[in-house]
Amino acid sequence: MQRMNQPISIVKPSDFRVPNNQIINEKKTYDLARLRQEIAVADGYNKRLHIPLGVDSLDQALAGGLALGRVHLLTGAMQAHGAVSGFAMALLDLLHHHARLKAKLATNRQTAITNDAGLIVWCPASQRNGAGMLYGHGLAAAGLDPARLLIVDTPNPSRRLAALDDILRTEGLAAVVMEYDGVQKSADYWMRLARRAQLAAEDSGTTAFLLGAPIGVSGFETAWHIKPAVDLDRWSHSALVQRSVWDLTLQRARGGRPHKCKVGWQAGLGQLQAYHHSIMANGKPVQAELPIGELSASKWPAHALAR
Amino acid sequence: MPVSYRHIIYIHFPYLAASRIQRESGQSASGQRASGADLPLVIIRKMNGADIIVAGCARAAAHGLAAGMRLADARALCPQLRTEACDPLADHADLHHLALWARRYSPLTAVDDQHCGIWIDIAGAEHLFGGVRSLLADCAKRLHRSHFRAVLAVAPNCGAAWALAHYGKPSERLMTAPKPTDGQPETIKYIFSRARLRRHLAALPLAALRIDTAIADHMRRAGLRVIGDIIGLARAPLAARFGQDVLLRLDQALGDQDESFTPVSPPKPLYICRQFAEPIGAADDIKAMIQQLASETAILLQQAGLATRRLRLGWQLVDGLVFAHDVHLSRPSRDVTLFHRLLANASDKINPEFGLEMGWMESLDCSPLAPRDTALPHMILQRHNGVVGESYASLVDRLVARLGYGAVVRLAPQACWQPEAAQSLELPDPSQIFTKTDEKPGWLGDPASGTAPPRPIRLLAYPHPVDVVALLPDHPPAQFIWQRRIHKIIHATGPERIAPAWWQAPAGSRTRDYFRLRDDQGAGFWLYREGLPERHETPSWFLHGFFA
Repeated sequence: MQRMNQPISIVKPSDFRVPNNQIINEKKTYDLARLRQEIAVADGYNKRLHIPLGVDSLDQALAGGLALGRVHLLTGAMQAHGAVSGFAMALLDLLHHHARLKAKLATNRQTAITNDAGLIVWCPASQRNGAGMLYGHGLAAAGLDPARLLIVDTPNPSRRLAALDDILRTEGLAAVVMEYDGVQKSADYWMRLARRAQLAAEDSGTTAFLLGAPIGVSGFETAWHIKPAVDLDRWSHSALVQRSVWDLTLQRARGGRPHKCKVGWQAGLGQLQAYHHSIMANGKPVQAELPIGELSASKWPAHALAR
Repeated sequence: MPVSYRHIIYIHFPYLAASRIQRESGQSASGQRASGADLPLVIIRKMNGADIIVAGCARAAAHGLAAGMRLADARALCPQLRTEACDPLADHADLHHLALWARRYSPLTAVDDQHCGIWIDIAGAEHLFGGVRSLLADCAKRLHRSHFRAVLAVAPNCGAAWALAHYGKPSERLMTAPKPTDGQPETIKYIFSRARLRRHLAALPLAALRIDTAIADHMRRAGLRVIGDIIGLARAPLAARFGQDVLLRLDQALGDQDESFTPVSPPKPLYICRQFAEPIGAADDIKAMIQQLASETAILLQQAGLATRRLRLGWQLVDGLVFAHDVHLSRPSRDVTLFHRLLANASDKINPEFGLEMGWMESLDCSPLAPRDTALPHMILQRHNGVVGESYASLVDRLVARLGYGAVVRLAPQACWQPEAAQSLELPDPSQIFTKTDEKPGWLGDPASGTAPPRPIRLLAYPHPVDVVALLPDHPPAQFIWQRRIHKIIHATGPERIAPAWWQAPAGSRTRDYFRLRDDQGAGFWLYREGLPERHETPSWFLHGFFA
């Protein structure tokens, strides 16, 4: 596995603001962190390849970024099907972006990179339970080429989950997304599954995302809880820009610490964006609520009305 | 010595090569018609330096162009001609297929290459079809349905059947034969009794006896033109003057001499069977049986140079019940380790009860393993830095073996505005994993397509009805209740009106107005309203999808 030969550039001095606004000794902290990284590399601990997510605080909490070749757990609120799938898609987009960058650096060509992206195996939950099948037109609009997807559509959740480590033993996949929507399994089962899946993922170098397991399970690389959040900047963007905003809670991270933040994501950027409220008044965000009367037909964009 | 009574059918296909060429050219030039599509088509071959016509199409026959004519003479008769080179291998392959098809009537069928026909010996098989006449009618109907122009003749012996098919006049008493559409004569001729045989054959020309054209010319110059002229003649002078062959053919045609043909043999399926002296029931024994069958099948495929896409494992229990289990492969293969891996769980499907007394393995769907198939993974490896073709195919095979044949699918766009019909799930084809064909419709959300209508990333299979509070007549919802939760809407985009295709939609499908909504928690929903206020229909709202 390759190592990221980058110094820790994620630790920006400007991020270190403690609540009473004292800027602590930046240079000392920076050197210390860099020294730690180098020792870890020399010791062989830092075998994981990390991709920076783009949000500095999150990358710090994750000790570098999203770990490749591991299994990550994503859970969501009861009805947040779109949000969890959307976050999984954002992470897949990140992986794709990283792979393209790596290929570009490896071949050292500035010309157009081949668009040959890796294959993603996605195992969606059975359609009866209210999440629905992946929709290619929406995925294409969000930046994921549906031709890269191989869908494993089987109604029995236990059999689907049991196929996870078999899929993870395939070489050359870009990522695997597995959704579980079945009955509660015991903690013992999850521990065993986590162990098997992590070993298989490490061997083949495939990154996996498991959606729907209970959050309390240990053994996975990271555990996230995703909630959708309101994008108050929506009206300053044009109607065509589709941005999703999520409230992320990193509950568990191997080698990192828990963290909570709000991120936004747009297709094609290759990274998440830290979401800040742009409208601040007295230190509190302004709830920009438009009255319902504003959403009348005359204000809607012309192309939607033309049908 | 009279031979035993039997029926031989000879089917002559006068326009076989031409119809094959027309089919191929019609398929390849799907968009534009080939310019020569309406001209008479002749198949030519170079003999002794000149182009000779060997076959033609119906139009060419109507112009009077016959086989054996020189191309130059043909062009004099008919200036506008389309010519194609003859392909005897393709003709033989077609006839071979037809002979194998004709095995539905009788196991004895043969191919007559030189004259584009097939023989069928239906002695003993007529009663299965209700008699010779209904057998003939069935055969003629099937050939007509498949657009083969055929002439059928039945006679007590091969020679007479051949003569009738090529040179005979249609019989008067004809029943329900499908009439060909462009004025050609009826296609069925038959003679049943040997007494009428001589009478019918007497009127046919000498070429109907399958003798050399040179000898036939000699005989014509001697004044012998039809078969009836030579039936009554003394045999020895005839043989002395024109050769023994004439007598042989005459005897064969009249039934005095036996003639038989070598039937085609159907392709043998690859089949390995293992019978046990004592019934087996232990799990280990069954596993060992499956492994041995798989290994032997792989060896057999290797020897035959074939690869298979489907393996069928069958077993018979002691009480006579027979079961089978199919294993599908996404690419033709004869790799024994792959077989072992795919059949690893097959022993779970076997319930031995009192014991297995026989087990077999058949490889269905065999095809020759072309060198191209082994070259494909390397091609993929060079072009893409994604999945190596081989490991992708084995992943698909493993998942299919584990989860069932329809479990592994890919998304394919369909050109339809109805959202549920705009996407279909299709089975993966490893040879096409990263190709893009231009004829297929693209995905709506492609950035290259400009302003794309908003589409959710997940679509419910059956839209859920929701309770909605919305201002009339056509405002988006202010809130909706789904699964006992209230979602207040703070942002809405729409409406996007999607109407069903009126020319194909079932009655009762209604126009929908789609809205893309964001609720106060930030989740995105795709709702639609059925029932337009301007048409005074009661509106009903449904939830159809989720946005990221």
